[in-house]
Amino acid sequence: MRFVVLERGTTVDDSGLTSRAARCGVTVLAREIVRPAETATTVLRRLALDRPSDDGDGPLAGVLLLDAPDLDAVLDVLPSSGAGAFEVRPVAG
Amino acid sequence: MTDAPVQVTAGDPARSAAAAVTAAWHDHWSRLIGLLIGQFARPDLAEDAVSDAFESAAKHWPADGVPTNPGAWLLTAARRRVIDRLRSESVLRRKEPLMVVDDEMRALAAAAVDPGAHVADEQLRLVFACCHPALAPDDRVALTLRFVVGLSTGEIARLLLVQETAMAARLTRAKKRLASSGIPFATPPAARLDERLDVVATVVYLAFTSGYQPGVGPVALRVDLGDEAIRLLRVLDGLLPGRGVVRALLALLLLQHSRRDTRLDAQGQLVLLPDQDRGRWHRDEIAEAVGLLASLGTGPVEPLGPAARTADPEAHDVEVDRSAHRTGALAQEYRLQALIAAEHATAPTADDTRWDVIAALYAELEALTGSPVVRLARAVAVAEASGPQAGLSLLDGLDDALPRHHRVPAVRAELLSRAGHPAAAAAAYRRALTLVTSPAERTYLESRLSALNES
Repeated sequence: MRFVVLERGTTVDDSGLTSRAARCGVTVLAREIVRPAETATTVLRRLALDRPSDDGDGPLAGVLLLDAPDLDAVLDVLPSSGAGAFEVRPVAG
Repeated sequence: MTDAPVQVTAGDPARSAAAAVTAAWHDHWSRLIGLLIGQFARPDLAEDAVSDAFESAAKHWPADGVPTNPGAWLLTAARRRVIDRLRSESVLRRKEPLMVVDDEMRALAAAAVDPGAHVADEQLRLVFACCHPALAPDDRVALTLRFVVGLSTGEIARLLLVQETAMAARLTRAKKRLASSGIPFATPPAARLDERLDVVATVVYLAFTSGYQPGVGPVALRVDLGDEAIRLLRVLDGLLPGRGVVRALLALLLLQHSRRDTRLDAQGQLVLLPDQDRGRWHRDEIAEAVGLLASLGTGPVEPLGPAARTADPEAHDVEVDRSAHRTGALAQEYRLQALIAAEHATAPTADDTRWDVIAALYAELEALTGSPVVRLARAVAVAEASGPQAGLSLLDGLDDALPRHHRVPAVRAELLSRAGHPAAAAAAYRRALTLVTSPAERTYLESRLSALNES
């Protein structure tokens, strides 16, 4: 069974994750630390907002990991109408 | 913007050096920032480095003489600063996020030796980056004034009526976001260009009007923001010729700016349009604006230029069509506003103003925007064309739509006074006085009220 785990907080302690995963028969398929909340863009319908998503945007629905040339390309890919919100953040590094 | 070489005249070397620094600042500030971001993908360092280079020029040029190529001198100095900073950062092993710059552009920017020779693309990219829709609207204005126009934090704070510390914090946050949220340093693709130009035009208009607030008080600025906004639009019109929104806004700002010398009297009091000295309006700018409006035709403003033709036909999906429609709307809005301003600007005297034409244009503008502010202006025009009663009936409901707007009761007061209802007019003036914030406009309203009481 595949799981999505969201890491939240300004600092996240996930030390030892890989070794524990190996002991427990769990494979980490992808793990990315994102840039700070100030870099977040939330897409609501056609609007790009300069904030992270919040509870008002609805419960967690999914995760996308994209490789794109820049933010504009990501905004073009995301559905521009309909329900839901998308928080976009570059991966740190 | 032209590449006029800096003429160093004989005479006081300190004065001519200072003039050369000012001229170079006008010609090269945004070009240098654009080139350095193109090369290093670090907006924060680019800004500091260009500031430092100008400081250094102000120090060295009076003593050493103005270099034959000031742009190249500044570019070399600024580039050296960035490299120094990058070196000390790598010693500290600090890793800053980078702006998204493609490799080809980076190589071109790194090879440039003169900001006057290799700039058009960088300037455009800089404007589009500062006006990116993923930035908050206030941040777009602040970043554009800082990076594109080259104003200091203190100057921007005074213009936007914000404390300097608050503006510094806002700029720091905005710069970080510009650098690290994935915003590209790039001109948008053809299919997105009009939509993004609308954002740019809105920012330029906001910058222009922020320099025009009456009652801000004596603000010692190095620049006239009206001039700068017009200069920026000329650059855009040159780089992206024939875009309706740019041309219509350029016409509008030229017309508004052509009256700059007559807006305030010697005491700093507001002079209303009918009382302004038309002989001191800038006729050349009015003529240019009228010419621009003629080039836009009479129908809805559509993109005229090459970008519209080169747009990828495959890209015309529903979403692009919708944004194209919106784009046309903003261009049309600016065009109608400019046509109204042109009616005023070309009337030989205030009494010759074609108020029926203006009222019809306002009706079109109100249908397009649904704005209560436009309705208010329309009411004034209709009152001039068809009498105060016709204007008064258009004011119905506006107090709810614009509850804090002193002009609603002020206009009502004026129209009631003309319609022969002095008591009701006085009450409306008193209401307006509870809402007005600008000292110049307060003085005007008080004088109207006392004139009413005397008659």
